[in-house]
Amino acid sequence: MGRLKLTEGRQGGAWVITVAGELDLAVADQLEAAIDRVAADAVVLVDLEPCEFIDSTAIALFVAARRRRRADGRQLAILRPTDQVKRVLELTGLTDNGLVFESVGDAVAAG
Amino acid sequence: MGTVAIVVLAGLSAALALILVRASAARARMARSFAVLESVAAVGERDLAVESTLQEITEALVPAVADFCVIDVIVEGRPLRAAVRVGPGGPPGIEEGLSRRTPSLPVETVVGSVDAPPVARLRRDLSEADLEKLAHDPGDRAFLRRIGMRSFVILPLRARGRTTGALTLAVAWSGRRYGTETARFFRVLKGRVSLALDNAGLFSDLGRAERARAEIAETLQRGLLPPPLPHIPGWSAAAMYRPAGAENEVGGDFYDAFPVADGWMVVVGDVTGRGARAASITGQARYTLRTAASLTGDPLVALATLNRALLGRRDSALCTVAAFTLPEDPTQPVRLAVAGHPPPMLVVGESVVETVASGPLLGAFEDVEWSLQRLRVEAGQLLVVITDGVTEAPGPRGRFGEERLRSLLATTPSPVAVVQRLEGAMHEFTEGRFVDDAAILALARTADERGAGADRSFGDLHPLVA
Repeated sequence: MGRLKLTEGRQGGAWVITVAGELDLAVADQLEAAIDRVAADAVVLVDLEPCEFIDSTAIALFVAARRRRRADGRQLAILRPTDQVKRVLELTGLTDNGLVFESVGDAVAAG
Repeated sequence: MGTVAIVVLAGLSAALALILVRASAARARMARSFAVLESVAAVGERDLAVESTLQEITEALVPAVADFCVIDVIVEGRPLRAAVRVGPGGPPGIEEGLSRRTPSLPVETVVGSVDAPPVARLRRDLSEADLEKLAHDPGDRAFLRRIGMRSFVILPLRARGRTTGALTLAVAWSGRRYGTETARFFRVLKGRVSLALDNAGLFSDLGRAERARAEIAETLQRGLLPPPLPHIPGWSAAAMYRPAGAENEVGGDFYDAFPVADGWMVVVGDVTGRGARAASITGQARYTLRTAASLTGDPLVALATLNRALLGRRDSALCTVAAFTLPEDPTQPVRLAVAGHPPPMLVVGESVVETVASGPLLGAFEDVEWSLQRLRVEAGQLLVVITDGVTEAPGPRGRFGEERLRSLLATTPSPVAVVQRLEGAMHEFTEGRFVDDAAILALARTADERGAGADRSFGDLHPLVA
């Protein structure tokens, strides 16, 4: 199974954390820590393009992190999920509730 | 010239005298160390009660090798201050202060983990900056400063292969210091103290307390496990619930079936997370769904009520649910609603189709809605609900996956066959290593109109806990 790999950087007014590999119970806290490290940034985007798998732990992480950040007037969104990942995001309603975007520009504009 | 020689000689003899004094001091220290180790060992051999053992050990250590010492024992993952002894000459109030004080180092630091086994920690020269780090708050800092600690050492105590506590020794007002030369002494001391406390039965007492706690937890958990499914007229059913860990029987997955107006409601859900917190949310989810659905018989009301209940919690609690009603009147359709859960599948011969689009999961969003799907299930057709622990189960060849699930479900003749087939396939795929909870529930409409003589496999089959 593909190990989790995180790469980070600033892109078009947002801090983008790119997730490669599998995002599940075993490694979700790494992403959580990465999101918390940039708590002061106005827009944090989690790019899932190279991510092959997410489970409900990841969903819980996204929902909780988004709630925390919104309470501080900050944004968290997900970018470019691939098919398996997109299905989980759709199933849980994250896609319909403004958490998923196809580009940095779209996400920043929505925030 | 002669004067110079005399001065030099005098200097040399003074230096020699100093060396001799130091050597004899070192010998004396070593003798003292041995005496301490011997008396600690002797305490261990005397079959004393825990209280007396703690008292005699600390007496052997203070003031011989420490100005004060503290023994913490780990009970249920938390440090418990078992003994404090303060030697003569220190400032007043130290003993009371230490007895009440929370340890500076988090318990994990002392206990260690799989990656970081417990290590003894020695600090030779304690600085103001160190105090700053050790202090919990300004009051605590003032207290630590008042002690005037110069060096300390924390020794993890182990018994029967696990860390059971820590012994802290410190020097302050006596002017002594712990240097690296004391490392060997401390290593031996650590073993002797551990052994003496183990002999006194301290750690087996802790073991008993933990067993008692496990028993209570088990009893509470039994109340949260899925109950045997009732007999539902006109339907046959089978279910499986398999928690990930044997030590933690209540996982995040659950199912339930109960009577509502005009029929029955069946729910299958999955609470995010593990352990006691997940179990408490599972309990809340099941009883909230039951209450809301019993009152209204409406899956949508059940979902909305649980959504509000979860949003109202202070912690983030998420849950996915598939809920549906089975009508008493066989001419009426099944009504389904899904919140963030894999949609129930309808199996008609070789065709396996999802029955309803999922709405948002519960506990995440306010002002959301779910849609209700009406579905006619004919005799011989199967309705199957799983949790994501089935499709996401990892094996040496990737994840179990939806394709495998669908091909296994196609042409399955009965609910019992669904459960048996899926369980067997999962076991084979994961090679018996289950990492997540999984639940499967399958229903089939029986041929007879009102359920007379219906298959009663519901009650017989449950629970199939692997």
